[in-house]
Amino acid sequence: MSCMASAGLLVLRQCGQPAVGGCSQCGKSLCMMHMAGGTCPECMAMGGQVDDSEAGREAASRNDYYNTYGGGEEYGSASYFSQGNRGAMGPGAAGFTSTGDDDYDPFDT
Amino acid sequence: MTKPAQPYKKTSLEQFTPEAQEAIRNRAITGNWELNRLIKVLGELAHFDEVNEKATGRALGWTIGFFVLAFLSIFAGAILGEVLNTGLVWLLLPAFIGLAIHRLLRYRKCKKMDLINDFRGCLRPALKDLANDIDREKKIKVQMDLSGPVESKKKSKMEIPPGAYIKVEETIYEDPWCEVRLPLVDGTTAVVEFDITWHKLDVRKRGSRGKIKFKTKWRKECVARATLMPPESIQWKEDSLRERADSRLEKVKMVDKDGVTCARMERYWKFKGGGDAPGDAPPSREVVGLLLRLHSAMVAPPEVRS
Ligand SMILES: [Zn+2]
Ligand SMILES: [Zn+2]
Repeated sequence: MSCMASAGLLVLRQCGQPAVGGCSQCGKSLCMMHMAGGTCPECMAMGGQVDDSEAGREAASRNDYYNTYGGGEEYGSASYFSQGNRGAMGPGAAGFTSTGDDDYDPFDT
Repeated sequence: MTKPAQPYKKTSLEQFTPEAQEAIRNRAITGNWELNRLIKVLGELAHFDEVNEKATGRALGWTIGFFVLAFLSIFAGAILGEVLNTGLVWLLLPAFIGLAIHRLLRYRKCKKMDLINDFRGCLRPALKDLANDIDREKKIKVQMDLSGPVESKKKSKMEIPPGAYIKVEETIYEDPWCEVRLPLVDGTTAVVEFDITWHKLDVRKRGSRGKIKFKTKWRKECVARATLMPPESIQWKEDSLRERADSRLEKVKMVDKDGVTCARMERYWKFKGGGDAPGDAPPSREVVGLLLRLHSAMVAPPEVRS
């Protein structure tokens, strides 16, 4: 068995290192590094928990990016998000704050 | 590299790695880099630039302070000289002027070493976020000019209609400061380019009490251009990519490179500032967001070689 925790952001893929156990929440097999928090980094990030390991930070950051720019099927891994999470996401490019119209005025102070 | 021939003058630069020192001296980074090395050197440059910016501010503060003291010492010389009956107080004037000039020279030296903030505010955090997508067996091709709006980048300087002011002169600098080519683990190359157009306005205006005043204003227009070049022809979900672009600030374009269709996304930002050129930079997240949408627009992304 190899580790099924996610790696990468653009190129989402499985970690692939030899597994030593399973996630206590979703059950997928995990390597030593991804086992560190008990659950896989994705389950931890979904639960809003802060996992201050490199794997944890990566998962939290990925979660954050996918929430802003869209995720799920778009990322080649339909099982990455739960149905509920996917529903909450809405269309991509949602998190934009527009600086909007060109209000540049060389003379404003 | 030849060592500077002043061993007695221990500069703070010596605390950095030779690569970082060279980058600071040239205000540029070029060549082929391993990711961790690049992140490390950019980190050193960030530290240098933060410290240098503080030193610049301090030197300017002291310059102004000493000039004020020099001015005040004229009165002190006149009054105290009378009271104490000595001309020695007059020595304060040249002393303060000397100190002020000394600090002014230091200010100018610091200013000459200033680096644009975009590499630390935007590029470096973006590289860190993309770290697990980058093929560590390959090198990143880098071309970075960190010198900001300098004379050699000046494109035009002309008077523009002054409106309510007396005179307004606009200087434009073209600054394509960065190109990085990131080899991704799936064989795709992500090219990220940053262009800045700096607009500097020198304004002459009449103050509230009729005094003529001078003011400098800046506008910094940034464009980030991300291009994904797959190793071989693939299909793109062009429509969905266009749908996911923010049409007010972003552009999507399909480009042909050696017979392979590549997808490109551009985003625009604008920053304003008075006095000094704005140090704000595009948020790294929004730059990574371009790559994220581009990559997810591949119909069947290339397989990751394990
Ligand atoms: Zn899990
Ligand atoms: Zn793993």
